Amino acid sequence: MFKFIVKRILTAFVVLLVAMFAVFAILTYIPGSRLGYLNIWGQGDLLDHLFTALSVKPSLFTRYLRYIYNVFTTFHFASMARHHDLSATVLQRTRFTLLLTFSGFIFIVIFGISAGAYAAYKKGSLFDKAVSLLSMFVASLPPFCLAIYLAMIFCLGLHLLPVFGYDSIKNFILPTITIASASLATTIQTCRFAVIEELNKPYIKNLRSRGQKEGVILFRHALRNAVLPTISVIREKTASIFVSTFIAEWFYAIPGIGYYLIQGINSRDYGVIMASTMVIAIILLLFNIISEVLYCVFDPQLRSTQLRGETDV
Amino acid sequence: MFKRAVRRFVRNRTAMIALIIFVMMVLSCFIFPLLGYNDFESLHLESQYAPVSLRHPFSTDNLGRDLFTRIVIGGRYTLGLSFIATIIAVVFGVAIGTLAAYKGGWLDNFTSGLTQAVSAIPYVLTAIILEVSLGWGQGWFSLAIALANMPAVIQSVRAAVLKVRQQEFISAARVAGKSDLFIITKHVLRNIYSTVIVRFCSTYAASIVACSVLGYLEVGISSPAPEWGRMVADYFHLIQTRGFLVFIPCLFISRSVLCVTMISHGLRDALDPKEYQHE
Amino acid sequence: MKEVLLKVRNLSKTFRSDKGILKALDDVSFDVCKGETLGVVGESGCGKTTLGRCVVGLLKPDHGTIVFSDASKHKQIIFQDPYNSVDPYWTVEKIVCETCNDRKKAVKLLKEVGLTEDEKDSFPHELSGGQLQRVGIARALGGDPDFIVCDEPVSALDVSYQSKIISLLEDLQQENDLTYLFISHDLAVVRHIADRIMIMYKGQIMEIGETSQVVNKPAHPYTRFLLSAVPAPFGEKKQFDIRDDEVVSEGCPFAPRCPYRKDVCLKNRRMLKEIYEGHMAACYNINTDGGQ
Repeated sequence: MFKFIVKRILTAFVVLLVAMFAVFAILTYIPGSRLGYLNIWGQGDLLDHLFTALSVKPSLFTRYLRYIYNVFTTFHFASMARHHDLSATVLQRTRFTLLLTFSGFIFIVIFGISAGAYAAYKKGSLFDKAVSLLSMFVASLPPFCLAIYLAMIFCLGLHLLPVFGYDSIKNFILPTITIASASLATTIQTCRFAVIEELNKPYIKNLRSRGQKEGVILFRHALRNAVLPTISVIREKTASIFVSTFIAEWFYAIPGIGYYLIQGINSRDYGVIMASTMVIAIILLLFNIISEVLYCVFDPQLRSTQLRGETDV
Repeated sequence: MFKRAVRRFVRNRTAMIALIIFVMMVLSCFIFPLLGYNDFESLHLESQYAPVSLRHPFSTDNLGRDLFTRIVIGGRYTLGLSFIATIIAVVFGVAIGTLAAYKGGWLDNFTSGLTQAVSAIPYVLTAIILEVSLGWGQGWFSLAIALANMPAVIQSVRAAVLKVRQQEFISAARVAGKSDLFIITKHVLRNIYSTVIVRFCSTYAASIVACSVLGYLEVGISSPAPEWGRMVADYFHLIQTRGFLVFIPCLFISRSVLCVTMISHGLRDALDPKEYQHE
Repeated sequence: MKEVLLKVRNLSKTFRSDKGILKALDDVSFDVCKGETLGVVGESGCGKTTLGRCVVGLLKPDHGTIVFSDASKHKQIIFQDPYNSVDPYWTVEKIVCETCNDRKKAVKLLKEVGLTEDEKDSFPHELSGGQLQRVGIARALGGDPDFIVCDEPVSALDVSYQSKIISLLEDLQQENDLTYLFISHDLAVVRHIADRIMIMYKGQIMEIGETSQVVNKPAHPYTRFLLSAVPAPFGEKKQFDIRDDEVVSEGCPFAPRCPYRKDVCLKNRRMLKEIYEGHMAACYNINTDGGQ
């Protein structure tokens, strides 16, 4: 297991370096890059001459290595516009993003699984139909549309929750719902389907015939087996959950890393773009590793398929 | 067979209503600009928030621009760009998915690895990178939308092709000496067309969402352009005083996405090959 | 001696997957004479379908040769599942045309296998399993073959329909001078149609010979086990206990289940040994216990 984790982390590190190099190279060569600014005044040739004469023009690769070296040794992110170290800002903003994504995931897991299981248990009831219709409706909206509807209902209409700000728990309720919305419907449907399938299996009938309580059957037996496919669907939705997080940050003006990235792009601050892309990539990769490890640890199916495979042949 | 599917679709009331609304929306995006509703950018500060009239069915915005014209022209951006993205995603997705599943082996492994990697990258990031590297504001972000939707297309096409490939009629065609090209075009694609059609619709819905999200975040589409998501962002500061300016574009996005989703559900129910066996 | 149409020598095929290695065919050699029906019998997973697919060229064997005589024209195959073996989006006529490329001939073939002309424009979902199997036979005939692999052609059909298809196949063999490789798990079906029978187990030939010889004087314990699974006409039944615990790589594959197992069976594999003329079996017990 330890070997597996180390291997995953090493691969992720390589992926990170390659991806960052791609971003770095793109940012260097696009119109409006650092050297490009001088070209605007027709000084590009002069610049080249200057560099050649001084023989200091570093290659793209060495500059990239220098950048990465700086980041990893001194944790120093250079900014272009503000001429100061970005690391404190980046750290602070990462906190908000992590908090938001985490609460989004928790919401999806708790609400998705319980609603899906209950809908499966009451298959064909009004609750079942309402949940599937509502979740489809919510899932087909762009996150910011949902955010606007939520803001109109809860803030402008009912005056219950605040829209902007990030100092109390109340501020995080609407963003969490917005983040969860896109993946919630799939989660509910997967869980509902898995529970229905599980409830149809013979061993459930056996339990019922022995007079086992319905609650115990649903929670201890059916749901336990249905949780894994649900979790794997949530895992596939990670990327879209992060997109929703960026949108929620932008909409509710929460200074997270996604907000920072968009700001950086709009002000063409390549230091900010590099720093926030890197943090996002690290979060995504870490998340992948954690979910993969968790999946391996908690999945009895994985072990049993291997066993079954051996006896099959 | 095809006729029966069409009949079943027509009988599905929700899907038909969605189809009619959506077709009307698309048509109005192209007809109303011809009828004079085509000035979406010049400012008329004297006619700010004009009363609703035939000239200004949805009133005007804070700069005196007609909201209806902006919505109608914006529909071309949102619906058109996402349609292009959908076509790219589906054409390439079907080609790659079919080839990978039909040929199998390393090609299949390579493709599924690549699709997994691509689907793990948030499309906003891809769009930003593409826009930044290929030129801002030239519609490259639709490529990012296509790229983001491709894994789902590839996966469903791949699953469908794998199912078809196992069938014995493929073996029979091979024994009869038919080429791979013949088998793919005449047998395989013919058998997965319902999957492709349904996928096209659901991809279109996802593309509209992605397009408006990118517009909202001002990635690739900048302000005077009346893309619906961009309009929501433009008017957002007026949400407390002139809520309709935010609400109307928002409504159009939700309505078009919902319509396309309903159509795709209707198509899925009408084309599901499982239904055939029961008849 | 009849003219040999198909010579198979040392055929081997191994499938590799995540689950492990499966030897579907392990050093299989036999001949098929012109105009005869060779029945291939064995339980599921014994490699008989792989054999049929190798012979028609759908699979490439790892080792060994498959040689048809120079006189041989075309080979065709009839599949087990009739619903699976026709494209659901093609009309019946078009399906038959896939091999013969001639509409008139297709209609003629459809009549020959017992379908009416009205059915030529129908789609597969409008036909029954038996009718579809007739379509499959017509498609095979459309390739103008002299050799057809019948891969369990009746096991997916109703019992009442099985005999009809069997007699159709027999009639067609007479009319067109066909050679069959008839694959089935059901010895009761094969003994009616086959001239010779080949018994396979885990990719190897256990016994091969004239139908009457194999059925009446089975030499291999596995053949006798299979025969005891056939509803016996004389009410004679003998049960073998099955112990499938030991995995054999070098020895006889049937040894773990064999009631007459000797120590040598686990270590070495007995090659096919002739008992009578044309009747061969691979078992160490033949001299003492088999043959009778």
